[in-house]
Amino acid sequence: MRSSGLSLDQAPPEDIPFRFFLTAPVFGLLAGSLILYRGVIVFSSSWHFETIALTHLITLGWIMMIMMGAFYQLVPVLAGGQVPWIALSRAVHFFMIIGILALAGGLIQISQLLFPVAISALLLAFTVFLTQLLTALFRVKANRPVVVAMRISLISLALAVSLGVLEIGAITGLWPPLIERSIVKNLHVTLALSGGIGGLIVGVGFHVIPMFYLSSPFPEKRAVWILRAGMFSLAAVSVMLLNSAGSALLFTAMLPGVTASIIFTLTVWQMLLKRKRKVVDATLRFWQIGLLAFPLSLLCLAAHLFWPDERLTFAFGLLFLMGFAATITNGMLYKIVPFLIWFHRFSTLVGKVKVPLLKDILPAKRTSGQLLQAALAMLTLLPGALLQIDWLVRAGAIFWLISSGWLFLNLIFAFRQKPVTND
Amino acid sequence: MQTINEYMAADHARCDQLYADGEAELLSGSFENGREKMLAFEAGMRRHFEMEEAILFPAFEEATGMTQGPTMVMRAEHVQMNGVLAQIKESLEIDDPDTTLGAGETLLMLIQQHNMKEEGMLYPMVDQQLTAQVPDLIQKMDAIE
Repeated sequence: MRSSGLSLDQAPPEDIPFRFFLTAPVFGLLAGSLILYRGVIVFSSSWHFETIALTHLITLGWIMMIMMGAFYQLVPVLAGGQVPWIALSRAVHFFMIIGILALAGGLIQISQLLFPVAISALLLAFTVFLTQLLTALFRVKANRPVVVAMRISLISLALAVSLGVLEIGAITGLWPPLIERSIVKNLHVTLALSGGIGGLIVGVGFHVIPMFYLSSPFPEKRAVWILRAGMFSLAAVSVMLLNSAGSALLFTAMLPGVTASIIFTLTVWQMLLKRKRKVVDATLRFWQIGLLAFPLSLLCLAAHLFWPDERLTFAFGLLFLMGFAATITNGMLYKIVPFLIWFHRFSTLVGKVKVPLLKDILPAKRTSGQLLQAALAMLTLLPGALLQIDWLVRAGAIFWLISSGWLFLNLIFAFRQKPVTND
Repeated sequence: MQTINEYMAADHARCDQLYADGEAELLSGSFENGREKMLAFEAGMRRHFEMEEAILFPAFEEATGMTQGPTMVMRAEHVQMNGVLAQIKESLEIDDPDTTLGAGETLLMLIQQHNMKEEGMLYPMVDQQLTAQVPDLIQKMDAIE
């Protein structure tokens, strides 16, 4: 290991991760409003523009926002690399918001003029973000599994964003389509979800489970194997998709990655069961729900290969995005945000004045209430979309809205905790 | 040959276990046992800090000439952790398990991110820069009561 890890105090200013974290539930509210307004129509076809808008409100607005904040915060701690040009992260956040709103606005057909805005803003945001993070991660000499997973995630995101931009340009007539639309779509989804989102959650999971719940460490050899299998499948599926391969070939290409995902899930589940700490909190439940939804989502995806019913696509989307990714990122916010507030605002005051504890910054009863709403949203949206029941979908939207609003208020509550000054 | 990283990571794990035991006792309402285990945890943490501040860090600083680098940051975090440890000890003296558990949760987060940086960066650097001295350093740290 060389000088890359010399400075151990490289945490970004607190406003950088927080602005990303606080934005996520606001997009959650927008997503919930769209489902409530349109009902089961958003679960009628994955080509439906409103469905694509909804998907991106969740993937970019919720999941990516939290992932970006987490990348900025975690890379120095987990990987030991300094993120360069950190002040630009504020611009990344600004252009992400503009880009997501313009994309969703364009897709729900407010105005075609919003698409060029979406393309420019998202390209700008992702180019800066990816340059910052890839620079940081390729400077790190250590090849710990988390570093490899983060690199896979970032490269997948870069490819997914490029494909997304190609697609918007093609559908709006900015340039001619280069590849067939369904190929672009499948490739975009595969790279964004399994590489981009899955890569980061798996990589971070290797470390945060032992950290937060005092479990045994994730076996390093297994972690390396999981990442290799995941990378192999990602590449193989991409090649198959580009060559319009049939279901059997695609399934074969997916198999190592799916097996690796299941092994990851079982390992983490086992680690949580055998954790040294006996305390049960909402974050543990968020992880458990996420770990249940993950293999179920893969089952729906595999089934869809042989039984191409759109409802399976929606079940996959809901389970993977809301059940797995949004749930786990939600839970992680409850671990990270109170700690960051404490660390930035109170850690230097310890021993001098009475400082609040993490449980005072974000009380447990606030988080467990939101957990219940998030779970209810999943339990209603899933059957609602599968059975195409409009009122159930709208009821799910209401739970999701309550859950997002509640998360937002919880984060604001934590964010308002400041040292008391006597002057 | 045992590396510094292995030796110190094992001590981190030992302290984690002491904390988890204390926390479990307090959660089950067994205050006396909880207090005993939490005090063992507190002693374990202080011993670990001493191993680093009296032996490991000075050796690293002498070998590399870096006194304003990673060890400085780690020492500053020890000060913060000592502050919360004092809060835990105080709460044990006045029979206030809620505060013990709350302060424990806070301390644990501080400890875990601290250990992550040590095990991921600082200890591997020590192993690399002071390879020949490792057995001697371990022996000296072992001798600390």
